[in-house]
Amino acid sequence: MTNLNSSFSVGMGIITWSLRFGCFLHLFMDEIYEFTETSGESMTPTLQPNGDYAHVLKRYKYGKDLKVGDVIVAVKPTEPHHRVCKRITGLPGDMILIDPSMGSDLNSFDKIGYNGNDKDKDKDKKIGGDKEFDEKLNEYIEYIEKTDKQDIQDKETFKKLELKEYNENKYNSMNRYIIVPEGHCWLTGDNLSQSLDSRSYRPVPMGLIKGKIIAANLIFEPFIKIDEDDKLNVYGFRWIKNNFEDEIYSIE
Amino acid sequence: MIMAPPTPVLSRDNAQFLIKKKHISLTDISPETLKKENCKLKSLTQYECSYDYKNDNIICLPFKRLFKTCQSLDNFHQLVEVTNNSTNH
Amino acid sequence: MFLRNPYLKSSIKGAGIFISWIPVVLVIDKYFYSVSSVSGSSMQPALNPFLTRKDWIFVNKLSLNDLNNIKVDDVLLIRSPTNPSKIVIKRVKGVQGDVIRTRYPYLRNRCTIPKNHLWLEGDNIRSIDSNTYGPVSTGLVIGRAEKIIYPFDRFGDIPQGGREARLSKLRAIG
Repeated sequence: MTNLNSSFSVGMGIITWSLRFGCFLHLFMDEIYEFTETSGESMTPTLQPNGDYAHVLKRYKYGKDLKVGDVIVAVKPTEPHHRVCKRITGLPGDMILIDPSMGSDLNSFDKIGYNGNDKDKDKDKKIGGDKEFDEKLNEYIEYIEKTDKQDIQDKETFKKLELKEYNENKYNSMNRYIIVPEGHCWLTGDNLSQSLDSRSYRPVPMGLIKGKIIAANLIFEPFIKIDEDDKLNVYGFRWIKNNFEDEIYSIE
Repeated sequence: MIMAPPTPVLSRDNAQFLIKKKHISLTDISPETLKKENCKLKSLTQYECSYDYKNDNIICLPFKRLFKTCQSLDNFHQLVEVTNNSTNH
Repeated sequence: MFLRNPYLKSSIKGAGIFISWIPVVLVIDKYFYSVSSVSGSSMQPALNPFLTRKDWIFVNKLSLNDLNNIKVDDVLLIRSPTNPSKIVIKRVKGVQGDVIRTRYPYLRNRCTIPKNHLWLEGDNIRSIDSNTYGPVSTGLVIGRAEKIIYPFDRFGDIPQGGREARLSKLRAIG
């Protein structure tokens, strides 16, 4: 009888301790640190398409203390069970280009156009001839007055400038700016040609950010290796750095 | 696809119009102008990668983006992008 | 030397065991069931009808694993799209695929809800909700508020509220 009792209590002990340890581990990985596999080409060459494992710090969850240039892990807005690794290229209030690399020959991704509609390319470009365009213009003005908290003194000039742009440079990627809204961030994969990111799904709420990637290990690299600087390198370890740096302007 | 929140696209001229009051140019990045505007020039480099079938590896060409961070930009506008056609030749 | 004290030893052991159960409690609170107070007036009159007293609600975090379980008129706790450190409470008024007839201050008068997004509105007409920040990704959902647990005179299910926002249903009425 006592044997049964004691093995029962030992069994229960094992179960409850596993439960307690499992919960501790889960919380640790959620709130402090996680070592997780990454895959995909959207962050090459920073992260390799296969075999790269990322060290993720969770204290940067929800965008806390994050800066432009940091690499983060976020939940995909349209697929909440998938996670993506991207670089932050815009924070709330930043005025940035949607996709300056669009139009480059190396860019194989289909991006959303001005109206999201290819047939608008051939639309008639008379001044004042476009009712939908006029509505969009009024929308901009309303939006800007609301979010920028300033009145557009000269609405006519504003409209004329926009019309000029519409007629001349509608699809010029160097001419399409966006202001990142409150509470959101702009994410771009380092491999601009093969990344589905904010350029397609627009600003991402920072509530979807799970952590910051600070380093990575490439398991295909040998366990121990001496690298170019004569330093010991374990499993292809490298720091994943913020690359938003000062630019030294040189006169050509 | 409209994701939240609806954010309109601005042309460079209109974006410039909006920050005109702060006297910051979206096109002029000369050292004299930067000094006058009390701005710093910063860059972020990403890549355009393609697969080289012949040698079975990935070739990545850098793509640089330029930004200005300025003293006079208040909490709402923190940095503005000044990348243009000559940034990456 | 002081560990020889039997009372101290068993107290420390007891404290250790107590502490070892804390992660379990935290996991239950985070992923299974939780209790929360409601602040603000965006869900009036269903919640916090009198601002002098905060309602306390029972939150179910379990059913959210299969996001297809979310239905119109569910009251959800979400991480605010405009301020990720705040958790807000709103009612679902549309799910993916629905076309919504939006309200001020939304810039367009129609909105089609993308995949895995929700249209959320506070019952109070003056609330800040999807009409301000657009459709919300289900990735921001924290849990579903299922019952009012305090004050006792309103104990039970959360009352219905809010308007019909889906265009398809609005047309059917007309």
